[in-house]
Amino acid sequence: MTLSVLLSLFTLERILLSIIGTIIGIVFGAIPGLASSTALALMLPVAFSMDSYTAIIFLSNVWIGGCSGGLIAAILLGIPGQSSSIATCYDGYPLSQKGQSVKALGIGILSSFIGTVGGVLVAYLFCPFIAKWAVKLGPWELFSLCFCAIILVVTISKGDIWNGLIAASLGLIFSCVGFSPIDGAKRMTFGIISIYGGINLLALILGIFALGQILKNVAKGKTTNPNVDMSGIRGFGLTMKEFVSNIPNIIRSFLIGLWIGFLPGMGSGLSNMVAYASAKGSSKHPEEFGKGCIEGVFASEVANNASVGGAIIPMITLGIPGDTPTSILLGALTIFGVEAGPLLMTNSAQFANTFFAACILAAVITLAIQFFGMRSFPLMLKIPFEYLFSAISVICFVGAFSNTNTLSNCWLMLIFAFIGLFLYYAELPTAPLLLGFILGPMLEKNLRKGLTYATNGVWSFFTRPISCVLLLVAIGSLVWPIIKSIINKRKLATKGDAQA
Amino acid sequence: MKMNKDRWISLCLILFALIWIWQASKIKPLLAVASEDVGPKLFPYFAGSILLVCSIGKFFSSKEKGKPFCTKEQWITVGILLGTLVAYVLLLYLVGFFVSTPPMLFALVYLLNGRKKPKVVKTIIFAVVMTAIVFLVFRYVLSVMLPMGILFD
Repeated sequence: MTLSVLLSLFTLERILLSIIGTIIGIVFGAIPGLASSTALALMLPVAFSMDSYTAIIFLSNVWIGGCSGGLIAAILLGIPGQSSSIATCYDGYPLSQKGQSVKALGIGILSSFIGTVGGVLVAYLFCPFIAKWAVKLGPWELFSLCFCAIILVVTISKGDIWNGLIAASLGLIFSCVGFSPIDGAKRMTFGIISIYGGINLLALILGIFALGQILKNVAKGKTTNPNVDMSGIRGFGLTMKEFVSNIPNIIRSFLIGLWIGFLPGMGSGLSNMVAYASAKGSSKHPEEFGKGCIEGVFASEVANNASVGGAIIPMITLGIPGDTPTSILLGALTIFGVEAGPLLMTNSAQFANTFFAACILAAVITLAIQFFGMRSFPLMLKIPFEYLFSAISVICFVGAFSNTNTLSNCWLMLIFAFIGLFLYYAELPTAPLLLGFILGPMLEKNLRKGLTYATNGVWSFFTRPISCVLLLVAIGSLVWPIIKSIINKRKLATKGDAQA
Repeated sequence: MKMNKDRWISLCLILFALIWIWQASKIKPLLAVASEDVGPKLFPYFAGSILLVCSIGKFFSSKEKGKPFCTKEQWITVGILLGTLVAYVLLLYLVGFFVSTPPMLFALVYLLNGRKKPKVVKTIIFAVVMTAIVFLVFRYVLSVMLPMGILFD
């Protein structure tokens, strides 16, 4: 298809709708409790009044805007609007606390743009090739990948390894509640109907990260907002040198994001944390992570947006959605009579290309809107603490309610606010808990499938090369700190002997 | 062996893990999917055992830390704050969003302000205006449902 045909598809009306769609997406992404999937679900009926091309352009803009909006709340308030921006909080929020919120936002916005455009371009170029290879991944590889991801996040979390593992196991425990995967046995529901479907992810995130954090701040007597330093900010607020030194980090995070987004069932919620973990692991100064290190913001935001491109690949080529937003988009495609799958690229090439172009356009619009808004977003922090956070608490309740349209979700959120307070009190890290919770069902499903399909039981996880490497990485990173401390002790001992 | 904060937390976690494993033993599989399938009990056992082992590990490796989490007065404020949030959900259930949100916002401003005294009139205006904004934005711009309360339904 020639470029001119593609350009003719983007009329003024469609471009205006794209801008509106992106703004809706960013707003949804930025409000804690509402995510791009919520925005898509709510805009779906609106899109039905349009023709199929306009609708897909509009919806992809809502989607991309929503994926990038989460960073605003994460950086300014330390509340991840959705699971894809959890790792952004770790360094973005401390940066903001130091008065560098504009810089953190600039990095986040730029990284989001790089991640989205790169991801979509890769998806466009490699869709057909990757699809063929992907079908060969079995439950063994998926299990080992989830396992490895959890262990990696445990090892990077602050405090000792016991605390990290305890948090991860608590996450796994919470993920067990509700119907079990595969056979649907009721587990730990105690007759409460609202948790039959499992613990609501949003209630857990809002409870621990939003309300739990407010409770913690009150307990610590931290009831003032940081000052915002707006002087001397030009462009994205970061120097060329800082950007250049982060290029390896960006490339690595991009590949991680793309790869994880591409795997079904695991999207940006996982990729941002894994990219963060690997950025910390390969950094020259890992001790600065969590205290306001720009590499952490780069890693998290490049990865979560690269997952968008990754998720497009299986959606377009196989008809398998990688996460919730793509499954809604896939639903929209079906309603418009477009069947996603291996034949889409040949039967409706123009439609597929429009979709890719719309995603790129969305990334550009998001960049422009956020770039101009960047200087005004931090003004939010000028609102006194008590007004800002009482309003946020109310929004959390409304968000939790609207997610399921039941008040039981609000109760659940309160329970998790209490659990969050306990975690902060006990100094248990929150990231492993969340990852354990998100990946728990995947881990269990693939473990059971793997054991059922295999002829040699548990060993099948070690006899498949990719799976074996991932498991060895996980075990290695768990054992390595212990070995390292023993070696260090021996070195000290021999030094001491030599001196004596 | 002296008990400290970490050891008490570990003990609580050990107790929780034991209760969890006991409850997991009561899970009934719905149907036999395949004879090789390990069933729905394995994973809860697995998660519970990791928690148990790690909590025991934490218990024995814990070190005394100097700084307390917060003072007794701050704990009381946190308790009142939690109570307010619980009351808010109860009110949402009974009388809905409109009636319960302004008092809740008013109470929260007072609880979150630390030592400063907020101005009463300003806070009342804030509570009413904020409620209106949240309602208008969520209901009409984002078309999200809000709880209306069983008494007014």
